[in-house]
Amino acid sequence: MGEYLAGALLGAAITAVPAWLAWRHNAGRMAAQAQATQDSALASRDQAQAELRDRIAQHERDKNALASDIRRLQETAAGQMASIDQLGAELAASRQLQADALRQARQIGDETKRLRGLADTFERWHEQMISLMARNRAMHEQNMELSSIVRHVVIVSLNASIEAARAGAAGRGFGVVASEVRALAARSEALSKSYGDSLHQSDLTTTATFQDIQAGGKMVTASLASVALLAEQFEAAYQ
Amino acid sequence: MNGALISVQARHSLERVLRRAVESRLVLTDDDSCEITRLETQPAPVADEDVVVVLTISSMGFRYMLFLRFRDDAASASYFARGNGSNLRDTLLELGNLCCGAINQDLVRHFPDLGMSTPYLLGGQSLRHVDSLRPDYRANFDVAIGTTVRVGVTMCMFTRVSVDFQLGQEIEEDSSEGELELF
Repeated sequence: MGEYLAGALLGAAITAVPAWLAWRHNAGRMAAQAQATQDSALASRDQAQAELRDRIAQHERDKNALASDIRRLQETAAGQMASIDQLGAELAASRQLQADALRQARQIGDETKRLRGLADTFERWHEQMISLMARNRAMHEQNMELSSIVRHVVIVSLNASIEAARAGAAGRGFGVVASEVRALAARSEALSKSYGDSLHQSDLTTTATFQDIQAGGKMVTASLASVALLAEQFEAAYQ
Repeated sequence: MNGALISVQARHSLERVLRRAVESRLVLTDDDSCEITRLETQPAPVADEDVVVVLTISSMGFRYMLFLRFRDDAASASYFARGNGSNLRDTLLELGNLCCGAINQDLVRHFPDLGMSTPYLLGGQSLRHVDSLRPDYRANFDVAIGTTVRVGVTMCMFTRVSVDFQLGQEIEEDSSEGELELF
């Protein structure tokens, strides 16, 4: 009985050992396969992790670069804002200057228009010249009248001298008087001629002076008109 | 006289300007001859009846005076007033105005700030006293228009500044026929 049991046990052992060996072999192979699979999976995971890290690093770099760009853009924007503010301030200052210039141009225009009234002053001077020349003409006429009288006195004195000579000794005294009158008439004639000459010179001097004033007045008036025109053009261009 | 202020070329230009003005304004028809002679001596004595038309062109630094002496004779009256003696005075004033206007027109190309007076009529004897005004430059001319009309022309310049200009060739060639030119 025991032999049978031992034999059975032996037989079982003989059967079990190869089976165990086979199982063990199979288990080892499967374990190796599982290990290989696990290693492969681990390698893939490591590779994926490495790639992920690379991508994270790349993203980090990109993020940093973007942050840097953003900072730069922010700085640029800030600079541009400052420039815009400065330009705005300059524009405002320029507009103020333009407004001032326009106001001054208007003032110049108004002032030149006001100064056109000088034409009336020049005209008044011209009228005074006409008046003065008319006075000179009257003096010419008076002098001619005087000259005519003096010539008449000369003739009268000559006649008196003749009459005195005819009267002989009685007329001697009268002759002296007549001669004296003739001498006075000659002096008056010379004086009248000289006076007439002075009047002509006065005519010329008066005319030259007042024509210069008149022509100068026209020059000033024309210049003022040019200034007024420039002021108007300036105002029109910058309004 | 301080003639040094007026350059030689300015004097020549002034003379050419005057000749252009006289030929274009005092000669009334194209058929009339016109001979302008520069007098190196004082002009001939004036008769009491002669009249002188006086005009002035003023600038800031100088003034220019033009004296046109017209004879009081039948030939002048016949030529300038076409025989209508009553209008002779006005006609002579107008002629003087035109003549000086032509001068002004040429001068204003070189001197922008100019003004011209209205003409004034003086007795011929006044002309003897021109030197008493002490011009810095004076030139006298005898103008013979046709065979009978004579006009005495005197121009003077008084200046406080240097005057130098040259009449441009384009002005010389410019037609002076335009009666509607403004000045």
